[in-house]
Amino acid sequence: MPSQPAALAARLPLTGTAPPPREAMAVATLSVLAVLAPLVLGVLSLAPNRLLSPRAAAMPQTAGVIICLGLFLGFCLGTALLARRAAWLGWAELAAALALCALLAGIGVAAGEVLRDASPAARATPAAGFWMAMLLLALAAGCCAAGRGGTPRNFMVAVVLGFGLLWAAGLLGNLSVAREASARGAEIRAAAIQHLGLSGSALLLALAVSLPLSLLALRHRKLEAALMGVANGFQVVPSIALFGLLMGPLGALVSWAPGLRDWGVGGIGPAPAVLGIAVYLLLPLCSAFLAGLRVVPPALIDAARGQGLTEAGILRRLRIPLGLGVMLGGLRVAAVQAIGLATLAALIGGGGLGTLVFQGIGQLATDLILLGVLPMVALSLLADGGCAALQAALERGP
Amino acid sequence: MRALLANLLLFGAAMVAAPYLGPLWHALFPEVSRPVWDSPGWFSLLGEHLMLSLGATLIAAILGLGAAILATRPAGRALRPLLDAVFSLAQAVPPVAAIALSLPLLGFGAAPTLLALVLYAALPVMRSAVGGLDAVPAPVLDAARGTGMGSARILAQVELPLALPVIQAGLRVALVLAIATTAVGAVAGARCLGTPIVTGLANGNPSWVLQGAIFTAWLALIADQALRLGLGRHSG
Repeated sequence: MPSQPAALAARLPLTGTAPPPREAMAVATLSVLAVLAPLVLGVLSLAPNRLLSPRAAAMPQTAGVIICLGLFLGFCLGTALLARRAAWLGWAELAAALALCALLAGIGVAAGEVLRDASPAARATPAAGFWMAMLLLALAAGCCAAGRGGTPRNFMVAVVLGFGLLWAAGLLGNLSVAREASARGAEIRAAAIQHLGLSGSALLLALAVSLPLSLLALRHRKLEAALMGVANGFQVVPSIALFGLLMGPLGALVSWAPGLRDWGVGGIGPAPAVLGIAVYLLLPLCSAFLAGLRVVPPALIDAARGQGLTEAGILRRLRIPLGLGVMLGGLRVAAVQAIGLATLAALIGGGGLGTLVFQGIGQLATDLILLGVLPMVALSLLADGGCAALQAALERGP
Repeated sequence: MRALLANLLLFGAAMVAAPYLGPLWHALFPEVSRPVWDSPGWFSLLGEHLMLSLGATLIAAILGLGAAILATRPAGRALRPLLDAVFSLAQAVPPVAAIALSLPLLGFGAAPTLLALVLYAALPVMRSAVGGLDAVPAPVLDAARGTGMGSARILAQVELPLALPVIQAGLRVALVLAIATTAVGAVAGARCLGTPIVTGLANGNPSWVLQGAIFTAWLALIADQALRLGLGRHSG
C-alpha cells in the first residue's frame, strides 16, 4: 500500500518533480566524456600525403569552426539535461544526434581551412578524439533508447538526415575519407550492392531451407533434435574455417561438372560465401520459427481441432498469425548476422564491402577500412531497425 | 569425458601427422606445388592461438566481472543502461570489423585481435555475472546484513559464491567464443590457426586453406564439447 504523501504526489503530477530516469546518470556521464574526448585526444589530424601517417593539427579559430564547436557543446549539454526526464528521452536522443552532426560539420569546415594553406597532396583526417566522441554519443543515444524500451530510432534517423545534409552542402568534401569515397564512388556502390546481394541471397536460401524443415520438425521430435543439433554444430565452427572448408568440395564439384561454372558456382566466389553465410542463419531462423509456431497453447490447438479445423487451417489461422512476432525476431537476428558475415566473403573472392576492408588492411589505409566498415555497420543497423519497426507495427496491429 | 579425451588425442595426432601427409595433400591438390604447410609448425600456431584466446578471456573476465559487480551495487545502477547500449552496439559490429578498425591504431600483429577478443568475450561474462548477482534472493542478503556483515563481506562471502555457477557458465562461453574468433585475427597478422587459411587464400594455395580450416574448426568443436561437458556437470 502506498504511503499517503506518495499517493498524493501521484495524483498531482504537476506539483512534484518526477525522479530522473535511471538512464540520466549514464547519459550525463557519456555526454560529458563526449565533450572531453576531443579536448584530450584531438579532433583533427593532418598528413603531408596519402602514405605518411597523420599528425595532430590545431583547430583553426574561424567563425564557422567556432559556431560548430559551440553547437556541439550545447547539444551535448542538452543531451545530458533532457535525459533527466523520462518523457524527454526521445528528445535527448535527437540532441545527441545533433551534437554528432555539429562535430562532423566542425571538422569538415576545419579541414577546409587547414588544407587551404597546405599542399594539394595533404590530407585531413578525423583524429581519435572525434571517433571517441562519436562512439560516446552513440552509446548515450543507446542508453536513452533503452530507457524508452526500444532501438535508438530518433538518433539513427537524425544522424542519417544530418549526414546527408552535410554531405549535400559540401561541408565534408575536404576530409580524407570523403576524398577517397568520391574517388571510389562507383566501387563503393558496387561493393554495397554486392554485399546486400550476398546477405540477401544467403537469407533467402536459409529461409527456403529452414521454413519447411521447421514445419516438419514441429511434428517430428527426432527431426527437431537432428535439425537443432546440426544448426548448433555449424554455429561453433568459425566462419573463416567454414568458408575454407567449403572451397574444396565446391571446387571439386565444378571440375566434375564444368557447366555449373556458368551459374556462378565454384570454390572461389559468391557461391561458397552464400552457402557459408546461410548455414549460420539456420540456428536463429529455425529456433525462432519453432518457438513462434509453439506460441499458441496446446489447449487452444485442441479446441480448434475440436471445432473441426484441419491441421493446415490451424497453421494458417492460429500458429502463423500468433507466432509472427517471435518469427520476425529470428529474422531480425539472422538479417544482422548475414550482413556481418558477408564481410568475410571478400576473403574467398565473394566481393562485397569486405573487399574494401581487406584492401585497407593490406595497405594499412584507414580511409579504405572505414569506407568498408561504415556502410556495413549502417546496413546492419538499418536491417535491425527495419525489422524492429515491422515487429512493432505487428504488435500494434490487430 | 572419454569422448573429449579421445577427440583431443586424435587432434594432437593429426597435428603431428599433418606435415608427413604430403602424398595425401598432393593427391587432393595436384596443381599446387607446395601443398604441405610447414613454415610455423602446427603446435606453435596452436600455442599462439590458445595464448591469445586465454589471455583475452582472462582480461575480459576481470573487466566483465568488475563491470557486473559495479552495475549490481546500489550506487552503480546507472551503469545498467550503458551496458545494454554496449550490447546492442556490439551486435551491429562483427569482430572482423572491430579488428580492422583498431588496426590503424595498434598496427599489425596480435594487438588488434586481442582488443577485439577482449571486447567480445567481456560481453557474455558481464551478462552472466549481472544475471547471477541479480538472482541472489533478497531475503538472503537481508539475513547477511542482519548478522552484521558489511557490504564488501556480503559480496565476497554471499553474493559471489551464490552467483558462481552462472558466472562460470558465462566464462566458459566467453572462452569458446574467444577460441573461435581468434582465427579471424589472422587477417590482421596475428599468428594463430587461421594463419594458414589467410596465407593460403593470399597465395592461391587451397591445400593450406583446407589444412588451416580443418584444425581451426576442429579446435572450436573440441572447445564446445568441453563447454557442454562442464555445463552439463554443473546443471545436472
